[in-house]
Amino acid sequence: MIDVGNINQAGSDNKNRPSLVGLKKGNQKPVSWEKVFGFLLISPLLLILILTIGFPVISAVFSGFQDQRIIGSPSAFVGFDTYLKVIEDSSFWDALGRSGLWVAVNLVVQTVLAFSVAFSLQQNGRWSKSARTWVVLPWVIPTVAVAIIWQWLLNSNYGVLHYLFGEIGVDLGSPFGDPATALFSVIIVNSWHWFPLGAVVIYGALSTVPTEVIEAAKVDGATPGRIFWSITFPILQPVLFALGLVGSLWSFNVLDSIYLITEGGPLEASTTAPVYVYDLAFSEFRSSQAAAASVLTVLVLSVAALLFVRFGRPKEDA
Amino acid sequence: MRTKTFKLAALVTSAALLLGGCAAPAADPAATDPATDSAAKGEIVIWHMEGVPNRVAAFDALAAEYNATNPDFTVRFETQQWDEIYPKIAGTAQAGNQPDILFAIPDFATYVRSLGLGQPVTDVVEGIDASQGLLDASKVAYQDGGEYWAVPLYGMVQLLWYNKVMFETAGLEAPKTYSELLATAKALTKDGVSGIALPAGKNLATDQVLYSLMITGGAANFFDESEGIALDSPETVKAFSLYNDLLEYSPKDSANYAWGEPQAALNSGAAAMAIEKGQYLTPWAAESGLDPSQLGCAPIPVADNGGQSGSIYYSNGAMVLAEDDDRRAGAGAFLTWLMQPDNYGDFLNAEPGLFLPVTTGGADLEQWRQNEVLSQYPECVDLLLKQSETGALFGFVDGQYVEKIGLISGQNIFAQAIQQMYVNGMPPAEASIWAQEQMKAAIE
Amino acid sequence: MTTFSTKRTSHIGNLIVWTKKLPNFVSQLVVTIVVFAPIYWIVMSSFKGPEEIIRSEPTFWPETWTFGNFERLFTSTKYLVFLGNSLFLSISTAVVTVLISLGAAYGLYRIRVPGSGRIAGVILLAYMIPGTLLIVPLHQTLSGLGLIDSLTALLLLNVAFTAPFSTWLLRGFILSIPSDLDDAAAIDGAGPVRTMFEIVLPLLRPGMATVAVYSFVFSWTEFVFASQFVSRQELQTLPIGLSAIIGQYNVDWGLVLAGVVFTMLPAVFVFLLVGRFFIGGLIAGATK
Repeated sequence: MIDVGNINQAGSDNKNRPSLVGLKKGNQKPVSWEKVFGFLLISPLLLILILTIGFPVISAVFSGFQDQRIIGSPSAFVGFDTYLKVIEDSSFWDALGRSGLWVAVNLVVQTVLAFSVAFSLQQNGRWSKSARTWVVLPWVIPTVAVAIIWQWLLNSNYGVLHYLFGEIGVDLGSPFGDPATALFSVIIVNSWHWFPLGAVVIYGALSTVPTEVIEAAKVDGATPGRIFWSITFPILQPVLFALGLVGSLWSFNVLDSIYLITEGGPLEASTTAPVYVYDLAFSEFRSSQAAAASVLTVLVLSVAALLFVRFGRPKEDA
Repeated sequence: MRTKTFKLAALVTSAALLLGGCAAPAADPAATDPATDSAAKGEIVIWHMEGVPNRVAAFDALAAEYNATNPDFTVRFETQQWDEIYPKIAGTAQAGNQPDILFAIPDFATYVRSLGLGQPVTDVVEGIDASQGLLDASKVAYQDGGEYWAVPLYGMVQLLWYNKVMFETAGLEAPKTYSELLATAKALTKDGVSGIALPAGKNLATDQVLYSLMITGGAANFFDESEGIALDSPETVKAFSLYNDLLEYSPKDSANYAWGEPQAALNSGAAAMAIEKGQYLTPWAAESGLDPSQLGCAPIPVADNGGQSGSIYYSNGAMVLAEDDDRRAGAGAFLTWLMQPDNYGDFLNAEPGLFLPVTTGGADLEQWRQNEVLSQYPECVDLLLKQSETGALFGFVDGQYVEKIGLISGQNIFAQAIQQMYVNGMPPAEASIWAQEQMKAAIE
Repeated sequence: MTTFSTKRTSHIGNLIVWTKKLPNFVSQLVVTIVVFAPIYWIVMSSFKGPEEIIRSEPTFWPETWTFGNFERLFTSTKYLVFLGNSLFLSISTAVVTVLISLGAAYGLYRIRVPGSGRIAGVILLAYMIPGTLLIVPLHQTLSGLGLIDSLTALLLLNVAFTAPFSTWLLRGFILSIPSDLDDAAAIDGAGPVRTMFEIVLPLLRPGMATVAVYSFVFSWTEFVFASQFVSRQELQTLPIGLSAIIGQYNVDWGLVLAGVVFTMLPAVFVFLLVGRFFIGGLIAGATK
């Protein structure tokens, strides 16, 4: 995590803007007031984060070195034994692998949907205007309901989707009950639930693209593809970077969609890392192991985030 | 004698503290009846799982009725979810703000106790037993170390439910044995209808149905004297094998089924049979569009040789988590009141058919038998009551109390063994040994 | 394709206009179906009776319309109480999140306080922690603060989970605003506070609108915290109320569907009401 910080640090130093702002104009105002103001602005967020996740994280790291079963029961210090137990458990690595797949496929499906929706929303016309209000529908349904609705739509006895596909000769079979399709089926449901977020964010970012520049480019005879890659995309890039990085981390930690539909099953077919951790903590009651698995997961995620920051950061972005 | 003085002192101090505590935050006026507010020493908070509207309404009505009797402590029900309760109760145990009363089932109770929560309620249970008479099966699952750890409130038991119209059309009778059950399921599977709808999802629903079949197959007790686990008996393997064979005649997406789907399949006419608890009575007529008399019910079929009638039996009880003597007494007073015949019938009617009486006189309670749902299915209600007598729950068979059962049941190992057979094609004998190893690992 | 002279015949012209519009039309159609098909089905079914809802041969239009499901929703559940709590919580989360993340993003990415990269890394860390890990320790923290069983606790937690992402989102929006603006303002003698309020914030409106929408919806659908840290029925939110009517043993489909419809409706209504403001903000940002 320090490394992620360092990379960002290096990034922010690229432009050296902070010092320039203070020096360039030979302003009388002390530079420090601006910095103090900056810290004041940041402090509420830091305070909330320390309050809500600071203590749990410390207690997790601590718990990882113990051998506690049920939370609150007596335990002993066992050094790295608990960590080793997790590392030696092939289910842990399988779960991480599934999480990788989960994040990647969710990212692809949601990005495609979100982009096409965002572009459609941007156009003039009645459809786009009305769509701006209703496109959020799948997103505002609580996950509990999303899970139950999709199971109902796909049920082999009374599910309308199952029926409709049956009418055109396609047997949907058991999308959530077949180990080959369970994870992907949940991904589809999860993507349906979340794509409006991406669409709203991208639409917001598209709105910051100056229309005059695009008009000028059109007059110069640039093709839509060229306009996108040379004008729109560079402006979108910082927002897409944020969405891609934080969105992926966040989608990594999705537990409810999966747990409510398949409980990680059949067997372990849809057990991603968060499901694995939840099961360890509250089905198997191995709280120290769950804590150790979480700490290891955070380490793996940090490395992934670091790589993403290094290779995915927009070039002219600080 | 010293304890008595101590108790008295504690009582006085806690009463004083409570009175002081009550006066300060000017208790929410909407929450308590103003008429009783002045007399009450405080409020007992009760957590129960499942907030379906009928249940919440019935419980709230009972609380209002009790609070109107001017008790020392008024009561208030709060709804929790089964999915969330494990982390939540652990969190409250750490923070020391647990509810005063918690509804539980025996295996969950072992988990709650291992969090350091739960007070013995032997005096309350014995008091109720003396006046109302409690069924043995309801008590034993909460008896450990000479004390009772929960007050039994209601039982839940499974039956074989079937669509009588389909049976009559096919000229079939309710199956009585394993092989008849399989043959019936096979015969009824045609024209898009499944012979039976069974859960095979990774959930407790699947565990429950399999365990019922293990009971009727003579494999109820899979713990040996030293609490070792033995699931490789021929009886267990037979039950596993039957379940797997039956799944062939169950809808193709059974591997994602829990409680709701088989019931909807039976009621919509997509399946002819299902094995579940008494909650099948209430929605039958409205969802199937058929007459109550067309819902068939039968004991769960038994193994061809040496099987005995039975079912999984869940004794639902109330644990007292309040640690203060005064509040404990208040909790006991409410539970004793609840079990009195006048109130108990209303309590059972919160979930007609699902909640079965645990008192000896409960079966004849007019209030309960005359319930608008139950009065339409008198035979099925009798059968549910009869099955309660021979019901059992893993870990608590024949008076045993396997403390570690909580560590096992949370993982739905039975359900996973079913999935090993159903989606991975593992042979039943292997699946039962796989389950045995998983359970052994769970309690290590 | 542009070599065609569009003026030669109106036929070809029409064809070209049509083929140009076609992909657009198709994408609009697909989006409409993806969003609306399941929703259409939910809404239609919420008007059906118990038997029709689970019928094997589905009816695409209710055979007999019934309002019984909605009637049950309003008489047997405390829908209005849940709605009030959800609205209060979602709106306050949106407001607080916008304020806090705006401050943080401005401090980190515009003023660039020393160590801002490291601070950003720590904020990112918030998203790597599996939620499961937080639940039990949070019970202790919150009861230490005396916040168990209060909407304030939910507000605090929701903001803790929306603000980091919002800060990252605003980062993108802030970076797309040219920095010469600040410098120009500084030359004019504007201090950091004035620069922030008068120069940068007006340009951040699309970003703020996005953050507000995001945090509103997060709160609107949030389930785990609401179920863990609130127990009183008077304080419960819609997702909790909704999941409570989905019984473990019995599912009253009609009631659940009516509940889903009435969880969506208020959110859509909010978007209709303030949507103009959001979209106005977005467009204003775009044309400036």
